[in-house]
Formats: sequence, C-alpha cells, structure tokens
Amino acid sequence: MAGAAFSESLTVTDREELVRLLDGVKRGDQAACRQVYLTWRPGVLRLLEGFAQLDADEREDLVQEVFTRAFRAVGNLKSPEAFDGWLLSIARNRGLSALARKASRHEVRERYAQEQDDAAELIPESARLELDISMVRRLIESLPEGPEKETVRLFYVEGELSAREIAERMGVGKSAVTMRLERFRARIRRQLMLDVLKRRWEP
Amino acid sequence: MSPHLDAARWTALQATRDDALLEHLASGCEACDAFLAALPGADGDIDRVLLSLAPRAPSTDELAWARFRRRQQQPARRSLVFAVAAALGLLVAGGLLWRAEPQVAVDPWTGLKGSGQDALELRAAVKGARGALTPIDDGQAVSSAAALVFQVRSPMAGPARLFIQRGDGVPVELTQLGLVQGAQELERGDEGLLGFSLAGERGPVSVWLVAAEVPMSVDTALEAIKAGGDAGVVVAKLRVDVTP
Repeated sequence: MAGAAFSESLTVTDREELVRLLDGVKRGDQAACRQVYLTWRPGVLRLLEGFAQLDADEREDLVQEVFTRAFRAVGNLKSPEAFDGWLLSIARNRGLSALARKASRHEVRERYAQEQDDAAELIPESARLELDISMVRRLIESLPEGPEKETVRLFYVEGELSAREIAERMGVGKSAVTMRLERFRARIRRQLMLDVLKRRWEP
Repeated sequence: MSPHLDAARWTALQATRDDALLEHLASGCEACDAFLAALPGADGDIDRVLLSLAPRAPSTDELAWARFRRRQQQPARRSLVFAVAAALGLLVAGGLLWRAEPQVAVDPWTGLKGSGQDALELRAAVKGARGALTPIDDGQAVSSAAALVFQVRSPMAGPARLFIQRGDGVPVELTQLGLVQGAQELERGDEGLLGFSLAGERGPVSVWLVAAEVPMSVDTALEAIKAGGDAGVVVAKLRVDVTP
C-alpha cells in the first residue's frame, strides 16, 4: 500500500525505507522526523484544504497538530504500510473537530468530534484492498454533470484550488463545497461496501 | 420496517445476502450513506486514493519544518519565542546554491519577526565543501570561509530590501528583491540564488530583510528596522557570529 501513496514523494515506496523512517521517528531521530514531515506535509495540507471553512492559519496550525499527534503515536501503528491512511485519518479527524469547534451550525456528525485515531475498524480490512484509483475515477465519471461533479473535478482531479477558492469561483457558500466533497467521499464508501459485500457472496 | 441501514441490518447484511437492501443501497440513499459514513475505518484509505488523483511533490518548506520543530520544543512558550526572536538579531549572507532537498538534519532555526502566517521569516544555510547545505541557527558561529544562502516565507507579495549590519553599525543595503507570497529562496534576478560570502567578516553580523506590499525607500526600510516593523512593512532578522 505504500506504493499507492497520495504524494509522488512517496519515493517511500520502498518498504525498507519506510520502516527505517518510521523507526527513526519512534526514536525521535530528527532527520527521520524531518523527512517524514516534508514528505507527507503536502498531502496533509491538501486534505485540510478541503475544509473550506478553515482559513490558511487554521490549516497550518492543524498540520502541526497532526504531525505532533502522529509522531507521538507512531508506535501504535500496526504496520508501516498503513502509515499513509493512518496519518490522513488523523488529519481528517483533526479537521472535522476543528470545524465542530469553529461553528456549530455546520453539519458535523457526532462521530467527527470523536477521537478516532485508535478507533476499532468496523469496515473490514478487505474493503481497503478493493479501493483503488481506477474505482474512484469511474465513480467520478459516473457522476451526473453538475456542481458536485465540477467540485470533485476541481478539488481532486485538478488538485490546484482549495475548497475555499472553489467556493469563490463557483459563487457558492464555503460549507456547500465542503459538503459536496463529503458527499462524494460517502459515495466512494458506499461503493466500497457494495463491492465487498457482493464479492463475499459470489460463488 | 424502514428501508434504511441501521446497526442491526448492517450486521445482518454482512452475514446474509439481502438483495432488496443492496438494491436500495445502490440507489444512492442519503440516509444510508450517512450511516455508512459514520462507521469508523477506511477514511484514511479513501483520502489516500483521492489525493493520489493529483499527487503532490514533497515539500521543500524548511521554514514549515522549523516552525514545527520550534513548536515541539517549546509548545507553551510561543509568545516568548516571538519576543526573543524580535529582540535578537543578526546576520546573513552569502551566495551559493540552495538545493531543493538538502540532505541534512535540520534543527532549530533563526530569523523570525511576528508570528503565524503574518510573519516574515528568514532562514539561512551554509554551503559545505561538497555542496551540501546546512541550515544554521540564529546566533550560530560560522566560519568566514562560508557563504550564506537564504530561504524566506513572506506573508505577501511585494518588494523587499536586504541589509547587512556589522556589530552595532548602521545596516547597509545589500540588494533589492521581489518576494512572492509563501516560501521561496532568495534569488538575484536570473543569476540564481542570492548568496552572501562571509569572507573578510568578523564577529557578529546581522542580516535584515524588510518587505512591504508597495515600494519603499531605504529610509523607510531603516526606520522599520529600528521600530521592528511598521505599518505595512514587515521585518525579519537573523544573526551569525563569524569566526576566522
């Protein structure tokens, strides 16, 4: 899974290198910490840019919070290959918690405020194996033409504008863009579940 | 019975095929999507794949790393760091090449004036014999055989002036620059990275960077240095102690 990382940096596709880096982080080795920080920072920041309600200062603070938590808890990581997803789940949880703190009017589900860094995995591990970029591309293609598809295309496919900038370009509220992105993620999750369940019952 | 997923139906679905429910799920029910979205797990993997659609290069933002390090070291003393940095001073200069990915262990850091995204930040590195760049700390002793190069994070785009101050002397302008918003290496036009050779220097040397949104005179910049910043003008400073 390390090879399918969210940053092209992931020059850390080499498992041994990833293990070496994470071992260094566990020991508090600053060279390793620095490399991990600089390698994964762009992806973490990009994820947080999906929360249009957060401004640049808040996102920057959250990046630091995410890495602080990750470096502190990296010893709990089950396997090095899970590092990408684990780090991003911390980032998402921190982002959603920040939204919850920032404005109660946002539709932030109760789970978002929970500490989930070590949460039990209720979605089977097998589901993760089903998840790949081609499935996501197909889902994007299957979206009806309209604001949601355009939002997803701008944020995830072109990958240049922040959610806040997309809101300005499209002339919609910031929360609308965040919710469109969340809705798309829900589609992926649903498709993932359906694929796993159908496969389970195939002869 | 409600057609929507709940905890009991979800559990049952994993054990027993339910075509009606699967068909309902496939239709894109928002209530069921919300239920699935509330299940922990897979979030990070979904984000990992989504972000892979437009992969990003590793960061070269050494200033961001320096800020992170500073925060880790002194999490409860940020305001103090700000005050100390404002009171400190010094140096810089040089000229060599700042490679995008210096293979060095970074540690602390140097010039900071202000805090957060509104701060102008100035950081220096020395180039070693093999071309490797080593970031230096504010106040660090540096050989006069070295040359300094600089990385800056600016809160805005606009003109800037770079000064050098020897000891307690009057700051002398080295050059004028154009900054973009965000992190960048200081460059001198098309000549590449701006460097400052320490040859001939001795003792404390400070480097001041003064930036504004609109052009400013040398006098305005010097006033801003004295005042530690001014309306619309931000200042960053770092110092080195030059040894023979």
